[in-house]
Amino acid sequence: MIDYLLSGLGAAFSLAVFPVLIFGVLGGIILGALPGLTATMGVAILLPFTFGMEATAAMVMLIGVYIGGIYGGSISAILLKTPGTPASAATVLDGYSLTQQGQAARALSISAVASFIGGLVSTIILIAIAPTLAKFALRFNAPEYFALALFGLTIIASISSRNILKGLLAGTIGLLISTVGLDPISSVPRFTFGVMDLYSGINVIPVLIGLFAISEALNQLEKLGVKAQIAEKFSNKLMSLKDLKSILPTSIKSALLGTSIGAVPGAGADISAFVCYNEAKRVSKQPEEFGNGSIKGLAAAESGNNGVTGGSLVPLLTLGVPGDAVAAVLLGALIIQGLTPGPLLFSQNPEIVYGIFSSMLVANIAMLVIGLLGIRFFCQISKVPKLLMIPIIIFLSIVGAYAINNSMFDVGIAIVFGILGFVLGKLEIPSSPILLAIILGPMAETNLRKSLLMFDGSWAFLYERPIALAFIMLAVFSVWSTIRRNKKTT
Amino acid sequence: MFNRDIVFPVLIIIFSATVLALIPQFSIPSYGQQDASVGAKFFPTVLAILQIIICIALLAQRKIKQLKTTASASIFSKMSLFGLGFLIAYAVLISFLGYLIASLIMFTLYLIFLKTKKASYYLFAYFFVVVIYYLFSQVFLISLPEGIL
Repeated sequence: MIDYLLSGLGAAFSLAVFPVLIFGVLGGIILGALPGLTATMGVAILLPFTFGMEATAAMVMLIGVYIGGIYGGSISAILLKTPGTPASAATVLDGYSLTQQGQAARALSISAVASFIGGLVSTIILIAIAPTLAKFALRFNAPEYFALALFGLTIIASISSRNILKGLLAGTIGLLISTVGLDPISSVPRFTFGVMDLYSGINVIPVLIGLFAISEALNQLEKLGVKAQIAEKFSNKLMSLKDLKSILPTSIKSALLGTSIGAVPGAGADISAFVCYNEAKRVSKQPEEFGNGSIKGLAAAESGNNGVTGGSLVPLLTLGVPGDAVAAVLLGALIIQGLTPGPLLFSQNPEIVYGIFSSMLVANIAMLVIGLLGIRFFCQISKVPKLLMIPIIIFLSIVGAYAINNSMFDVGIAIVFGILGFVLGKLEIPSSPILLAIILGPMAETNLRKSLLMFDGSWAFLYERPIALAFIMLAVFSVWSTIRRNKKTT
Repeated sequence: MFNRDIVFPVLIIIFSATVLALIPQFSIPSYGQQDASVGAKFFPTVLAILQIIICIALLAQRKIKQLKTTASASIFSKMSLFGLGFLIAYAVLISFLGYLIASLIMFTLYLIFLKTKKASYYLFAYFFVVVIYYLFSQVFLISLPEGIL
């Protein structure tokens, strides 16, 4: 194995592969930073460019885009309160608060380092225990997925810091929105009112753009005087050694959690970021700092979402089962190269598999270097006067919402949710639970109903399946600890 | 007097009641439902009822804590209404004229409305619009709204 890894590292630094890797990571960061353009979209866009490439170089470039794209989403989340990708929605909670406090450079450096830790730990685990993790993930069936979604939904209580009831209300609004479209089991149209665009449900990305980007633009506009305002001063100081010591345990824990979540097919970086954020807040001695510029919160979200990058490749490479949308595109890329993902790939094409592993290590290092070197450049965004920044956010939001499906309907959705997010903000109702519920709602409903079908209408799956039971107990514990913590602080 | 803490929960209760009224209208699959215990109506029904309960709890919470009615400014200020108008106008214009022309027009109108006289702001605005156009359409090959005119 070591021999293959070393030869893979040699290949990663070769003239044929290294420039492609850097191009992939840089392209991924730029794409990820643009609202509406996800890592999945980036990988899909660059897929046709790999047709004429050699297999290792092709996979390296796409994985570079994937890793860069997940990190890139945090840049706009931190600087503009506009998550570039759904995976960075949890990053907004503390990242933007730090920018408001004039610590954008510190937040960006923490994000880059935490993302690096997440990606690195995830890759090491991928190399070390990929087959074992894959076997564990294979034991997941509908009851386990339902329990995982339920556990994810309990995070709503944690991110509704001021008033749990208002957070729960936002969560139910999100869950209700997630029921729009064809019912996942019997394909009955629900709340579609004959509108064809609603049959496939409401896409999460325009919702994300509306709730975070457009509503923020409206908020900023309100604060704007008629005359142009000078951008707030901020420090160019990066994270300190003390910061690194402070975030290291949280980042490693989140990386491990993110890798496990990534290894479960269907659970992506967005869910992972929220789960890791919640876990960091739950164990924190200063939970009140979360949402107000906590560096641990920022590190947990970033390490958690990048932790998924290695995890999602576990079922893909070992079993040929894509863990998420990006892995599905990567599966297509492997097939185009004439390779069949699965156990045989390890024995028949070890140079490709270990080439991918080695390149992931190098891609994470490249992401860290580009991320840190780019901070001064990224911070220039904070210097752009708000007067100019507002239409920029609006234009990027509208274009991003359109680009998902080339649909003006999605633009309409983004605007509606922008207004909703703005109004809810005035009513002190948090927007994050809506997004979380829209992501997890379909997973919860589909798997609950599948479970009931599997168990002939009995709810016994809730306690008869050990993994499902463990998640349910975790969910109960999560809510209980949040309520207890809230009582202590009030 | 308009009180957000009362009006909003009441509006949500009305909305949830409307949802509950719409749910029985879901069509039933002709092949019959396999999972009769939990069908297409189950989740929305539970959620609408939950929403009503949460709103009642919010109203009760307000009553118990005897929160004072504070005079609050209206949700939409003059500037936020301008923002809404700008958003909608841009969405309409982009569907007719396409990204490039609509963005150039709207950015100019926005700067004029805010009485901006700095030429550098106008130059920056046009530069940004053109760079995004080039990046999306030429580099990433992502289609931008082209308009119908």
